[in-house]
Amino acid sequence: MSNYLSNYLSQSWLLDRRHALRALGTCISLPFLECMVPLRAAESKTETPKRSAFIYLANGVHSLNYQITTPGKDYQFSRSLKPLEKHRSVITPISGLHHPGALSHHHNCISVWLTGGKLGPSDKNTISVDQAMAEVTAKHTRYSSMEIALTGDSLGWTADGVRLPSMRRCSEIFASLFEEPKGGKTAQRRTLRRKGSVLDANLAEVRRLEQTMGAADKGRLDQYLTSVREAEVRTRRADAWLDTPLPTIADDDRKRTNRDIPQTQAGDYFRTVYDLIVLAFQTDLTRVATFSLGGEGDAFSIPEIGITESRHQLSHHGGDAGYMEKLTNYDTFAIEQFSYFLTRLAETKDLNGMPLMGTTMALFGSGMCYGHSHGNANLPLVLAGGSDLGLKHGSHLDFNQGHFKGYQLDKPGEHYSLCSRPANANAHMSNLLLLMAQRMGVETDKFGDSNKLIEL
Amino acid sequence: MLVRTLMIFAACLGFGSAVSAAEPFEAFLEKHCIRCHGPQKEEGDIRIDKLSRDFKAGRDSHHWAEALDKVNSGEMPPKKEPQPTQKEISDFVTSLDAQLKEGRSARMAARPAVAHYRLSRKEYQNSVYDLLGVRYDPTKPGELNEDTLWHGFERIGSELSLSPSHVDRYYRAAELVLDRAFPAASGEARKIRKTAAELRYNGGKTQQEALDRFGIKRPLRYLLYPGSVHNALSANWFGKVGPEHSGLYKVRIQASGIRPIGGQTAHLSIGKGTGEETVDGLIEFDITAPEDSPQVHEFEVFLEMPVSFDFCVVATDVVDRRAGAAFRNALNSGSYIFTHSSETGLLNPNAPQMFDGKGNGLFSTVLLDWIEWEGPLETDAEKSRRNDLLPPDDATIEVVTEHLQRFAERAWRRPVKQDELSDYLQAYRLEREAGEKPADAYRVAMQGVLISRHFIYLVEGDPTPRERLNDSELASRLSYFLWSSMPDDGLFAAATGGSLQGDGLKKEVDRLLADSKTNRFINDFVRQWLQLHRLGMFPPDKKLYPTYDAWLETSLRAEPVEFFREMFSKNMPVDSFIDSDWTMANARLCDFYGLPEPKTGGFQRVSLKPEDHRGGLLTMGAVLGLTSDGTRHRPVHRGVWVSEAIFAKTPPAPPANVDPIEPIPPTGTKITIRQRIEAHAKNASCAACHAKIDPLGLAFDQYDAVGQWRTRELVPTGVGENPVVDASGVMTDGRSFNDSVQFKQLLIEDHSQIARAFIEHLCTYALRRVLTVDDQDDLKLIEAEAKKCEYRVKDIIRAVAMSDLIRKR
Repeated sequence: MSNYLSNYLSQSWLLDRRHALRALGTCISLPFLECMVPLRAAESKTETPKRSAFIYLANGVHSLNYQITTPGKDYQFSRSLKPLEKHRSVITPISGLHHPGALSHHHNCISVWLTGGKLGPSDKNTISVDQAMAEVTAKHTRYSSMEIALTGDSLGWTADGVRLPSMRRCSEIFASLFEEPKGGKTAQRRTLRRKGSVLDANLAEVRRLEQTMGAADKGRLDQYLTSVREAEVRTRRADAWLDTPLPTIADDDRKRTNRDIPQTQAGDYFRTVYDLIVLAFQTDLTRVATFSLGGEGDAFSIPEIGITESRHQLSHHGGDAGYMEKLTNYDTFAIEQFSYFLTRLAETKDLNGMPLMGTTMALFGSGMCYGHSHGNANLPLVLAGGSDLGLKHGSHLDFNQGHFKGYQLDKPGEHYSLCSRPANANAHMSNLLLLMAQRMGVETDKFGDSNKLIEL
Repeated sequence: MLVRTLMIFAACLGFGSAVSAAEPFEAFLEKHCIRCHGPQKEEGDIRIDKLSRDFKAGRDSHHWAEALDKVNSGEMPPKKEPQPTQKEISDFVTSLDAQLKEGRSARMAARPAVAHYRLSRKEYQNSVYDLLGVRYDPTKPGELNEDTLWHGFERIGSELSLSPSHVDRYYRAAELVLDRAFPAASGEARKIRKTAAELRYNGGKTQQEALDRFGIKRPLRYLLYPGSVHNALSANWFGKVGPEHSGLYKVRIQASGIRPIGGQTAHLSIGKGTGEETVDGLIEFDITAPEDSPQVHEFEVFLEMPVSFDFCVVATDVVDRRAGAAFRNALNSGSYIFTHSSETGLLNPNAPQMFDGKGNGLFSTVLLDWIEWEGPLETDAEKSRRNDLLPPDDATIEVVTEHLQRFAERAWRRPVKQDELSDYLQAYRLEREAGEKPADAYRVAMQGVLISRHFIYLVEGDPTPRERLNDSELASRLSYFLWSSMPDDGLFAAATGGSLQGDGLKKEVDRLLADSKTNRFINDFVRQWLQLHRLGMFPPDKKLYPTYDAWLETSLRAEPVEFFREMFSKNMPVDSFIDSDWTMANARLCDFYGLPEPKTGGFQRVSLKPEDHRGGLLTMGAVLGLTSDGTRHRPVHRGVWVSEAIFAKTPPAPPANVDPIEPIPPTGTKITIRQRIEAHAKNASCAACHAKIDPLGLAFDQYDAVGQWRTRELVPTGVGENPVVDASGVMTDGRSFNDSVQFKQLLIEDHSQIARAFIEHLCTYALRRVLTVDDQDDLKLIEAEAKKCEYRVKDIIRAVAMSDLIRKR
């Protein structure tokens, strides 16, 4: 359980739900919500909202055409990264990072991309950085986070190492954000109250058993208790938000985003999901989003640019020149859509009238680099936005420098090695996640297997 | 999976030589590690002499894992130091890996005083059905979360965790289930039949006139062709339809299937249209009935009304817009009339013909006579599950309490005391005070029972620790083992009556084994044991495998399950897992394997000849496909799979940081994957493990990534001929084989080992936990029982159910 939540729950005046029940439906509105904010974590209202989005591209990239070879300010864009050139001043391409826990774990790299956890038959995954952030932002927004995965699994993991479910269809995402609950406020309130009663009865039953067990190993019991408890907190939070109307969405925005797009139109699909994330940030419904463009095994093909193979197939190109070309085109295509997202962030203002780009950190990348042989080092990553949160962009941040003889793109074997075995064993991707977590206001000096804070 | 002591390891598979315990392991550390990581020098701050050897506690397991990795990858000992031999590395790695795994297993198998094992999604689904007669599909989007798998197993307690989102979903599920059990309004069952004339010819009046003119006596038929989607059900056929009409529907279809020469059996898919040429099939079946003797096919589906469905004939050779525009235009036009292949030329002289002169179809098509939908249907057995569950509106709190107690006893699968229900009754009272009607308030209490830990978990134990299960817990363990669901009234009564032992237990186990609910066990166990979830995880390359499609994958996935069902019902010995002269196949699979076309659709037993190159589980398309990556076959993955599924042993994981395999340059000579692996695994530390794993997979090199037989390996890049496949190998005990046929024979020679592994898988499944060395003696007893009945499948399952192990916590 999060620090935030345990802090909140330890305040015994909040634990007796039956008192709260009597209050429900009579005088609850925003003030009630505020009283739910833990005292320690209370923030002043004027503070800049902080937002983060994470975008995952499966199977690595065709690194020979992706790799930027010069470190620092004077770097040249590579062929695949070219679409980001117009955003040069607000992005930082990053080379040389890896997750030690993902090495030799093939496609499972997607599971630890945002957690920095360890994989193995009995190793439990750990909390993903988006969820660590959501613990801090949840009290400000109607929804704590949104998880989207067009195919495969979501990127988000709870503190217990349980993977969060994801949304796939645009209409589903739209409904989750903007659709009025059925039956109006009174019916909703009744529904929530009944749910509270059911959860409450179960909590009471478990607590009783817990008392009789004393200090013994309670195993799964604790997990059940925490989960039911937090579900109850969410029920109450939802109740408190009932009195705040949902934002109104302009007709053209609604038309553009509230529809289902077939897989065969990947570009439109990607851009519409980006639009939905922008809408959610713009209306401050949530401040944290994860978006997997597709799973490791089944990311879309892109017929609109002549790619009929799945991304996984292309990544196992076996040296086939045609496949390597298509993989490069796919990379470029995905990066173009990411560039569209950055453009939208730059031109859209939030509720405070500030461009979203300044308050939003967007991380794009993969948990793999050399897909053909499952190389999980030298991860392709681009960090963008967030200058209001103190990020300084404009350089190619290269952690391979000083640990190798330089890029040898003319010797594919050498380069593939670099993408499979880390040149710089200390350059953990968790360090980057730690940086982002801190800028979001997560009070911690460690995340995953971080060993050093990245300066940016 | 159980990691046995090294002795057994060595005896059967040769994962490590016959070292008994710590001495050679410590000797290796002394000889190669401690000089730099010991009292004299503390390189990297690691003191190997000081690391904890208590692997069960697992305090230093991360350091040990790192040590394993470094030795495994050849990084340690450093190059300038004396190097261990391949055998030394192999022994050390195997020994350390086994100790780490054993420690891990012990931690995973740890049982607190009160242990909770969460139901899997399937078990939840079966339980609510058996409890309330309600159909609920937890796999639909937005319903229950997917179960975490452990080597394919869906129900390992230490893996099935709970998050707030799970709780939300259980709450939702309980709400939905109770809504369906006690609907506000229920719709009467209705039946609607649509004939070909109504479906295709708008009543068919004018077409009938045409037939009369020609003197044609045959009735109109609806010709459905691949590449086009047509209406199969409209909600408004029933008149007014709302959610109250949701429920189970029977659908009957009379049709013939046309299979073109050299083409595919006609396959019909019915579901929601997803495009011009495809539907998301809810009902899938092959139609083998010839044109002149159509058959009636019947299915049951759960429909959430109002809903509409479409038909689609599925075949790889579609009549699409590009190649088949002329066909499509003709077939879709209002003037096209079909009765029989011999009359179509007469009736449609100007249309392109779908048949040759001899009545052979040019495409896979379906000739439909009628379709019938009937529902919502409910059996008396389903209804009876809900008798007397709701208290009357004017019930006193005592009566309400009695009702809730009755419900809770069935839902929680054990006797329940009234004071255990006080919190739920309190919720009922509060709801009443808040102004809710009695029935609505009672729903809150019932919902509480359904999201209680007693329902969603199997709870075993008391705050005061005990070693054995009580009778209710045993009843649940047995029924979730053999039925994937809760005990029925008979088993519940046996448990509360104290007759679950000796002959009483045998009687109950035999009754359970004879019930058709064992089909749930067969479906669930086989899927999990063989890790069938991996099939299609990496979809096969369409260019390399153009005939692979969703229906083939569904059929492939079903084959091992149907095969097991046959073995179970005939109580056959485990040898058939390895080899058999028969398999279970449907039309699509017969087609794929090159077997004669069966007379009827659906799965049936077909015989195999040596030249078919099939038999047993290992050469089934599903197994060969799930161990491939969609493009290439993966011998090492196949070896690991054989090791896990057939021997119940997981080989050590590969070290991190292995050198990448480089693609063959376009100018290089074509070589097989085997040759590339062999070049790759030359160094001593790789060879140490690969020598044991790889032969188990290389034996199947004559099967490609989707499981098709071949003699040459298709290599996409490089120059020269495609290389000839070599499927020979040597087992670690020195026995050699030339191909998969000989390999299978070697396995069968030691069938006690196959049985032993099968028992371990069954116990892991039944106990919902990882096994450890502490279970050894109990397993041996089961093995001895199994041997007495010649390792017959059903007898082995009975032996597990009757074992002492199953009564232990």
